[in-house]
Amino acid sequence: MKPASTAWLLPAGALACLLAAQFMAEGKRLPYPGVSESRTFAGSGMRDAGFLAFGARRLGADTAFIELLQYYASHENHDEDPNAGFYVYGLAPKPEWKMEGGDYPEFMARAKRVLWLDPYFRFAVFYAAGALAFNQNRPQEALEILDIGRKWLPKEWKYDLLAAAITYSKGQESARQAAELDRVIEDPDAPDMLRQLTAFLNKKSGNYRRAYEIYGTLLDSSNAGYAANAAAQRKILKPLIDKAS
Amino acid sequence: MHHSWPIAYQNAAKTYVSRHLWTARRKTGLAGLTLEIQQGEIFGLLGLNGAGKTTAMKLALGLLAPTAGAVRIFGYEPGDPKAKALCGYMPELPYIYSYLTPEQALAFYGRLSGIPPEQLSARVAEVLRQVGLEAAAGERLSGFSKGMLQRVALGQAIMHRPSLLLLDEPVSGLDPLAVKDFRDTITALNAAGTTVFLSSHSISQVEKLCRRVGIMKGGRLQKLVSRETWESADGGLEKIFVDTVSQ
Amino acid sequence: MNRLSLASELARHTFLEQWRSRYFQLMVIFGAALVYASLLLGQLAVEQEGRVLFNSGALFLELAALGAMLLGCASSILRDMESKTIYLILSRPVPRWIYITGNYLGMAAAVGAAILCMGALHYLLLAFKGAAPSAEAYLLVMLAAWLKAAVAGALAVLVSLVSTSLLSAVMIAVFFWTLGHFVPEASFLAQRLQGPAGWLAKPLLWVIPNMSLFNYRETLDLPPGAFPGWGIALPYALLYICACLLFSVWLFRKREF
Repeated sequence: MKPASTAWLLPAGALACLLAAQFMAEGKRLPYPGVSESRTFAGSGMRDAGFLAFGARRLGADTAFIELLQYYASHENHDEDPNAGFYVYGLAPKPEWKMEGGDYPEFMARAKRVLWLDPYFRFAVFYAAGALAFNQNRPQEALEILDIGRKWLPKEWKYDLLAAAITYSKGQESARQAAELDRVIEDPDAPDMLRQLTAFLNKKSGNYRRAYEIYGTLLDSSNAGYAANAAAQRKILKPLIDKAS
Repeated sequence: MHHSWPIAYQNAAKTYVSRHLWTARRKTGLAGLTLEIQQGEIFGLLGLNGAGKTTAMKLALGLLAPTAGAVRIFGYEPGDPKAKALCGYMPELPYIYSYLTPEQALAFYGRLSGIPPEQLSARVAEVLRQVGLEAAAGERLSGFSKGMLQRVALGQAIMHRPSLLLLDEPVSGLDPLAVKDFRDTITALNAAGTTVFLSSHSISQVEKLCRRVGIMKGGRLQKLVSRETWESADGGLEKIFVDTVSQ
Repeated sequence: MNRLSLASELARHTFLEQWRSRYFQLMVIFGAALVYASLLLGQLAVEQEGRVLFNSGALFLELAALGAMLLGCASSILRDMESKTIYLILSRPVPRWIYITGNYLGMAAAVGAAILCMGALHYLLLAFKGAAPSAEAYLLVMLAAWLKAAVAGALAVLVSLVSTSLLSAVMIAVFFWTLGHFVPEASFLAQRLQGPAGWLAKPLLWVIPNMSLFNYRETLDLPPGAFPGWGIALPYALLYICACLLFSVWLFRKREF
């Protein structure tokens, strides 16, 4: 008598493996914002979907951040002001008439897009919050960016420090602002823009030595303007430090 | 069925079905073949194109499954690894990876046939000598002539010293010298005890090698002829063949 | 010869065959070139060059590995069938499931070696820029990329036996690979679909491989515990690959030549 066929064991085994695998992975996902929370911007939807389709949220956030930087550096309102680039990178104090925050209407939306793609992009949080608060005089939006960052990294205490610095800047308390930012810039992910600002605030508060140290960290900045300014400021600060000591 | 027969077909049939949308076309490859190949003989299958020779061979190798009837190799089902371990197959065309050298190809097939690693190199060298490819052992098959490729194909078939050799159109496209070499090799293997089952168009080769010949037409075995019969017949095997396929 | 030896012989043969293949070599070279080109992307990111270099290089490496794996897995058995080189394998005492498994393992090994080559280049670039993660973390990134490719490759083997077309096998595998990154969203949508659409969507979820389990490169900055863990990723990959290969063996066992 021919033995009964056992071929059915193959698809049965396959199905069992498949179901076991899917059951094991049920509900497992990486903790990123869902599609329903998406923050696409100006036709970026397809590109963002593409990055998600490739499982490349971080790279998507990187390209969105590059677009943000390019927007921030090349906004058409700068055409009328030859020093515009310096305001962007905090190299010179912005005239008060420019402090209304209206030069970069898309900045917030673009920043939110970056953080939707990768809310763990700490550098982007520091950069966007810092630019909004200290360059564009938009402290409320800056605090909103920090809230987004805190939602996904609740233990990131440097966001709280930056929020405190923003609050102090609203009250024009430069020394306390500098003290908070001093601790923020210890983080390797702190942007040079914040270091630049912290050095400036320390100098303004008379902490020449601290300002000198911070400018020293900017000498090899990838931003040539910051590096040049840092070198120049150190030349100014050195005799002041020597005189004080 | 007698279990010592190297190959036994018991009313074996094969129908090819080709489906296109909702239609199915059926073609008879083999119809009710009953045949036993005896131990130690060289048996030839003769027939025109499409007669069923290759089908019969593939059924014996488990490359096709019979639609009806049964096939046994030394008593085992053709798909059984025990049956395959006893068989060596040389296909009609040398379907061997062209980027390999003869040495690499024989070693690869030898390993798949279960030759122990410690015996492999010696066996590869021996087979290369046997099929006359020692000089070209390190050259890629992509540069070989048809005759040289057939030698490699024969070599891989005999690597593991099979008890049964299945050779599908083994001399097609070979020059007369290569054909003689081939015949001598097969004769020597048969003298050492290997059963040979070959299919061919070439009546003269089959006449020289085989003890019995089966003539196929339209998927059916029309006639079984022994050497004594065709040697004593007027016109020899050729006349018997022509008369059979012309009916 | 025992079955393990047979499978390893077939795997070895497939491995060498792939590394000899012009298409495989082109894929690896292309991947390496893209990894190198990620240096250019990094230049645009000002202070985040290291991050961009890592993210773009890791993605390009993964895509090149995926391409090589899908093309290899979808074409290997089909090519053996079309060229009839399969005759001389299956006429030997090689069980069909060993043929499928050995072939697949050889492909996986070949792609693993390719990932190591491209990864070495990428890691050197990262180290040159002072942005290299720990060697352990980077090895895990490469392992995750390999697992992703391996899962997609097993699917490609199965589809190639169903469709017997290289192009459709690759396209379907890519489709599933892409969908695999949207599993959480797809689950969310499927829960809300009613009627025939829901009947179709829900079973499909059980078939799509959850590729986010292998997105280790996206978790390097995440808090500890964010990555589902290798205790999930490895058995998941193994089970999914086994499922695909078992179905493949079931389809292949009665295939005639």
